[in-house]
Amino acid sequence: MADKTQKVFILIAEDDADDRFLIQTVFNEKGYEEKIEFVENGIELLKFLDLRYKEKNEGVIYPAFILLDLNMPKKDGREVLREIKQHAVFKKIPVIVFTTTKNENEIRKCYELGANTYVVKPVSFEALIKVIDDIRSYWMNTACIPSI
Amino acid sequence: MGKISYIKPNFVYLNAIFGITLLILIILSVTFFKRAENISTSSEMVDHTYKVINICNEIKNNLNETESSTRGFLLTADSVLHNSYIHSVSNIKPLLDSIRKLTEDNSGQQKNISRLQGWTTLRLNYLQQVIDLRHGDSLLIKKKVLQGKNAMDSCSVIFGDIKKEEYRLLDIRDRERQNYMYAAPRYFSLVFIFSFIIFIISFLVISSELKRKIEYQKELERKLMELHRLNSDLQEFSFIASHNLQEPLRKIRVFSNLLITKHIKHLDSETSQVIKRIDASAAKMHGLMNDFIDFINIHNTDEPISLVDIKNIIEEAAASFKNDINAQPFSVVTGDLLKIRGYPNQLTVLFKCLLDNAIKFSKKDIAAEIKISGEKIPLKDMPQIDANILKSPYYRITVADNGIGFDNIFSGKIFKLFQQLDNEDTGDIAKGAGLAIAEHIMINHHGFVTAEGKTDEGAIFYLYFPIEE
Repeated sequence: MADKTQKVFILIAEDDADDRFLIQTVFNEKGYEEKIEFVENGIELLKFLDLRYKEKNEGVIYPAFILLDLNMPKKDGREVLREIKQHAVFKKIPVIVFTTTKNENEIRKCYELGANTYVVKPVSFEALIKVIDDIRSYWMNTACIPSI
Repeated sequence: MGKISYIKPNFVYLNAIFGITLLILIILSVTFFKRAENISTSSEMVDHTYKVINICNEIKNNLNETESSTRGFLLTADSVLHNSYIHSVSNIKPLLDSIRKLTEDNSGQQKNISRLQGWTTLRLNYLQQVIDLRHGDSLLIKKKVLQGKNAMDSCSVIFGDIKKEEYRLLDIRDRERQNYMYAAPRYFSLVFIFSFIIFIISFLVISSELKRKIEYQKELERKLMELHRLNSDLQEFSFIASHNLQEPLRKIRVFSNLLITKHIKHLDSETSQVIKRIDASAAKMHGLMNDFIDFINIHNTDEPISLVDIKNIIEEAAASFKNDINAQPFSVVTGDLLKIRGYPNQLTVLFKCLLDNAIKFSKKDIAAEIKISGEKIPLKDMPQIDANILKSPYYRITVADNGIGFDNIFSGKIFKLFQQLDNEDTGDIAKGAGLAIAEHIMINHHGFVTAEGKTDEGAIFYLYFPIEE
């Protein structure tokens, strides 16, 4: 799954094929330079990161940020978020929770677990383009994060 | 879920039984005490009679002793006998005083004792004269002895009268005492039997009340378990509604929107109209679903209760509309308001719903004016509240607007979820959950909300919060 030759990339954990299709469509539409990698559940996401961590090469590239859905099979977004933010290396990767849930408790819990941003999935394609563009722009161009 | 019937404890009935029982027991106890006192009094009176008779005998004995001592002294001139005479004489006066005191409640006996005292004095005088004349004229001595004898005979007659009267009284008092003594065990048995019956009745009544209470408690526990189960179902349903049902709907909207934004130029007019209608319907459904989720989430709160400054809450709620560029112009005038114990976030939602309602249903081209005031309402002015169950007064917050109002016949209906009033002006915007949410927030605060309206003149919402004094 991981392509070691690629440079900057964005990791998207999304179990829903429609949402993966829509996000891919936005990236195609906007023609961003960065590639996107998809994983379909929490276990796949952790495996993806672990594989890179175990190589221990200096040139190993981690995702610029992770777009994380909360409700996924096998291991859901909350568990994954906790494990990432407790990991010595992975915790530096910005995690943007990208979900349909607007529940106040859920939002509070995600921030407590260490989420960098919580974004509710938009209900129109135009809004989806804008949201993904804003997220990408902020985490790729504006925010400064320590190198891994 | 079935209705839990409120079983009001029958305190009036219990209090009445307790009061009557206490009264009867007091009457019986007082009567019993009086009876015991009568027994004691009659016994004392019998003793008293015997005492009078004994003293009477003692006086007589002392008189006899004076006579025999005088005779002995006259024959032997022995000073021992004279001393005995003097001793007996000195005994008589205190005995007479004593018997007078004992019979002071009996006028007949007092007369007898006065007579006795007179004759006794006379008798002693004659004896003293005989002693004084012992070496003198024998004829004079004889005369004095005879006069003394007559006085002694009179004394004996009076002693007989006193004793006769005392024996008469003794007979009456002894009978009285026996009557009381015979009646006492019967009376005691009566008090005991009555107390026992009262005890049994009280036990049965309390036991029956306790059984009723236990049954009610069991019923309540059963309902509580049912409520927990339903609440758990509701939470599950809330999750399904907020995720599983929202997801496909969101996708319908995103994909229809994708078609409209990306491919509209490739679609003919009819197809694009159909897609736009699908998008509009999905948007409407999405709005209803969001309202529905907000409505359900009102019950799923773990927010702690605290003392809330309602003025701040109103300002916060109003600010959320002022930041919304799509919101219509409005103004809020707030009077002095009490702080209320409640859930701050829920109260913010409550005022957001009411402000949203006032702004949404304002008149065309006229900015909404919302006036909010508060006052304490005594329970007597609230006919829908049973003052026997709730003792605390209510604090009423009035939220009045100058909007399009509504006909008062809909005042109950407007708090129903997704209800639309028969008002042509409001259209689809009236189908919301805002007022249903407001009503449920008031229920969460153990209060309630009512509404009054007049078409084209505005609406007034009354929020009633219970307050502790």
